[in-house]
Amino acid sequence: MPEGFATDSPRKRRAELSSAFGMLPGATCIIIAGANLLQHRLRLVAALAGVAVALFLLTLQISVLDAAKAKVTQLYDDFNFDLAAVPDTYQFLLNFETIDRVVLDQGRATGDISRAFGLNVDVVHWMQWPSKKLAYLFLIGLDDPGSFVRDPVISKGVTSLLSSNSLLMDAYSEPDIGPLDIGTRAKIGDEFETIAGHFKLGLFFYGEGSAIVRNTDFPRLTDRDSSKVSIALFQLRPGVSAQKAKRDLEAIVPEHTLVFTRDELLQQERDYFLSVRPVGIMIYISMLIACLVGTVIIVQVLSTEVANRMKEYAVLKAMGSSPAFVYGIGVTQSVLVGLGGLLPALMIGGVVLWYIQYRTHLETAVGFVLLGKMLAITFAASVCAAAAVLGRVQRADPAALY
Amino acid sequence: MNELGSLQFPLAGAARAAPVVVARNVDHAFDTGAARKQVLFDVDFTLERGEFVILTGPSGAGKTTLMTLIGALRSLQSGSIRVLDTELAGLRAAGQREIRRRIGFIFQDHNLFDALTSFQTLSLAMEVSGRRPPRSEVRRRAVSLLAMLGMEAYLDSKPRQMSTGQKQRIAIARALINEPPIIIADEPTASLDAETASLVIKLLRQLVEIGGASILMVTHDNRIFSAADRVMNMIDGRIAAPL
Amino acid sequence: MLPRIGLGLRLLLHNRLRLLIASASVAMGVVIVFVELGLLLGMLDAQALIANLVRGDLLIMNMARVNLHRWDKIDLVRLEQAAAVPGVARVTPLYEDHVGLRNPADKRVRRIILYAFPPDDIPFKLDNPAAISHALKISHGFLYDRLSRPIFGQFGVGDDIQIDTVPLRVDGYVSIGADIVNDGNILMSEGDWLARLPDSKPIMGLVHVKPGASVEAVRQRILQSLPPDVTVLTPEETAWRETLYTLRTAPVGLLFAIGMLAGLVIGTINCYQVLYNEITDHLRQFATLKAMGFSNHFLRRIIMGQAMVLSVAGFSTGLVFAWLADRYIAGQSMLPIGVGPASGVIVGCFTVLMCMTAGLIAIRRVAVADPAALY
Repeated sequence: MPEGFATDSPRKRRAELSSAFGMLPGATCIIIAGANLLQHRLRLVAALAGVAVALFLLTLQISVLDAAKAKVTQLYDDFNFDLAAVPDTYQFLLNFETIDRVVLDQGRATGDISRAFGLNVDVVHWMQWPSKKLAYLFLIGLDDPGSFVRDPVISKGVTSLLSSNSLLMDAYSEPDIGPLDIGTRAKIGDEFETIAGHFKLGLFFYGEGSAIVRNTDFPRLTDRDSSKVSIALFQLRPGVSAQKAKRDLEAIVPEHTLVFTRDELLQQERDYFLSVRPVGIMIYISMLIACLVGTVIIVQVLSTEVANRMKEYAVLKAMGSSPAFVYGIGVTQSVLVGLGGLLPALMIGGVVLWYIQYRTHLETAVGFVLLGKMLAITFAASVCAAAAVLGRVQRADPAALY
Repeated sequence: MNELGSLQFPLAGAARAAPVVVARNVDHAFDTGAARKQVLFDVDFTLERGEFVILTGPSGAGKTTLMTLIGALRSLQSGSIRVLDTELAGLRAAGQREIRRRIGFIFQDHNLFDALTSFQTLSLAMEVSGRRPPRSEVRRRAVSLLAMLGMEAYLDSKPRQMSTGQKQRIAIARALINEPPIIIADEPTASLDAETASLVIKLLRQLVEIGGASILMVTHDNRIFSAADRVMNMIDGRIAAPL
Repeated sequence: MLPRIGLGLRLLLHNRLRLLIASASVAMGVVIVFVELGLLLGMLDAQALIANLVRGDLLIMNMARVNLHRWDKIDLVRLEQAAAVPGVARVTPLYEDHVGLRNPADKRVRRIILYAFPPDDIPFKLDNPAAISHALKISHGFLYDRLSRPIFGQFGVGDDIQIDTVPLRVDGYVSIGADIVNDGNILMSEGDWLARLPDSKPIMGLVHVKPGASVEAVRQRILQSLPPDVTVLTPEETAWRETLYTLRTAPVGLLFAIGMLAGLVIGTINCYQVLYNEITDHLRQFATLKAMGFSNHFLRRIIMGQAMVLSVAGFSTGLVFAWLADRYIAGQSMLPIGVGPASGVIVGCFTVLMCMTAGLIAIRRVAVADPAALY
């Protein structure tokens, strides 16, 4: 700068602003923090970009993991039950072993259970007609829905299946299944079936598509013994403890039958997916790495932003400013950068997650829960980063400035 | 062998011919519009070959601005400045660089790279023309110059191993290693003790008398005024009468 | 513009702790790219595992079997017909089915893939084929794939394990590997398998071409001789088909690709910030060089040299952590996930691209170095 020109220092601007508006210390913190950030705009943009990318990665991975966990239990989420009985070979929903239907009656006989419901699952060939192209179809068989089925579309759809050769088709089935229009005919085994309606699940883990039939038709399509069922679901009488009902049922069911509460069954599905299925493991570990890297980046960027002003904070301390004021500026600055990076992260993340949902039917779109999680993570990281750096100021000796 | 050792300055021994710097009607202002502030007003200035001129004056007088214009560190806005027979007005970046390569700049702060030894610093300075001289030549010139500055023992030292005064001497060596015909210095002795300051001024004087270099120095240290051929006073953007 | 690596390296090496932190900063992006790419390639390799493992010049399968996880079987007569085609030395039937293996510890039954074949003609490239052949011929047990997921439990040679409620002896171990869909494998002799399921059909036939015969010519002859309900592919074509199918249908592929892209952006931004700080810290020195007459081009070469150094340092650091991460993931998922030459080259190129891009953006800052501001 040429001689004689007074520098328009941030400190002078801050003093002017503060005195001009006569604001409370909290507002002064925000003004100072904002002025600090805006002084070097290119550096601010770089910091925001770094935080934004890290938060975008976190948003993506957290959303995908949550969506995957929800997807593996999605069919069960559509049922209203408290207990489930399954064969001891049961690993996850796609289970080919069965239990006797008598378990349903045994359940009702315990006195704890008000209603019982049989659920059948199997994988069959879906042969398009007349092309005879084959695909795998995850076939679901339901007893009379009653109060068991939460999804009104499925409930109404099953109830309205008038013909024994009609079924409901998952509208999210993959193109390999062929046309999904109502009235489309195709073969399952030797039987022609007609699509009479749709539902939306997108159970891509199990087959190229899925369909629902009545359990009265299920044995015919799968060569299943009609006295068998894949999973028995139970609703408890009001006031009955799930654990007690589970013990009572376990005491009377046949050998090779396991009983789970609803929570235990859903947790098992998630655990199996996350700890045994490689896709689940990969998604989970991707999320862990994103968390680790994302946190490091956010803390690094935010603490650098604060650390760049260390001398100024030290001067404030030497001038007698309270720790609350010093921390206030630093934390505010850190939070502003954090939130400033969160906004583009959510915007870009929202678009990408919408596209993932569109392609995969995983429920990844940004919602209030995800928004809340990301706000909490951002806020926590911002505060911790600033506090870690400013702790040095608090411990430093202001005499060391001279 | 003169006290400058093997250093040779291109204009050494030349008779007093055309001045190395001729500035005429130089105006300069900073910023535009309502914030515009004029700092130089119709300045005329000449630096003869082999002349040592000190520019002094109060803070804000325009000394630094004039110096940066002469050194082709800024573009000329108005007027004319001829440096070594090259007109600076309208000179493009490449032309400005060429002028700078013929000037040795000595700044108040040493601005040395912490990562480079003295030898590496001087070697880098010698690459300014784009040519990498042989290592032996670099070493010969570096040792000779550092010896004149009393710094031969620090040939392979990095700045953190030196005091502020010693770093400044290395910076001076960097400015002189290419034997520039013009030396522009800004408070070169500000960070030096009296003995070292005297050593540096003596060296600069020798560069003028024996090497034929021309020196323009800005300083407030009136102890070294006597070393100069001329002391110019600047006040409020104008050159006042010589002191 | 050739980077000036020597000077850039000196400037970075001057503060080794800072260089370490800078390397780690760039390495973060490298690790993400490595891991996501490793997951993608591991998934693809796993899905094509059997195709890469089979011994045979050609594979003959049911036309409907468009990927290796479909259960469309082929009639034995098709294999016999193929064996009669001129140029074919022999056709080895390979049977495949899923059976229930009861974990001896928790007694839970879990599905495992069973492969059955003639013991004299091992269809897979495995270690010690003679020992495998001997074990399957002598005993009526099975060989267990030690690379199966741990859900099946631990057992030793000689133990009796229930397979579909029938106790069978563990005769030894092989190393094949699990994939995205299947958790493990066991091997059995064709005779033992057909004794349990006489009507079982093979899943494919492995065609061995006579020495000197053209594989392609034999393939064409088979296709012309047999009805159009079969397809004949080389193992390489089968593996490639499997890779394409997985890429097309597996939604996680999209996630890994986006993750890689995010890693690249992170690495670029981190590298940019390091270079930006380097320039800012040395702004006065760069301005001095400009005053001395060095061009912006010279200074830019220094920065690009530093970008190159950071790419090497970041890649090396990232490689170590990625290797560790991949080992962990491979151990957990039992998939062939790891750092290999292909992924190393790909990520190396990406790292250089990342850092050079960061350098090209950062060098604009060098123009800010104003020699006039030194006064």
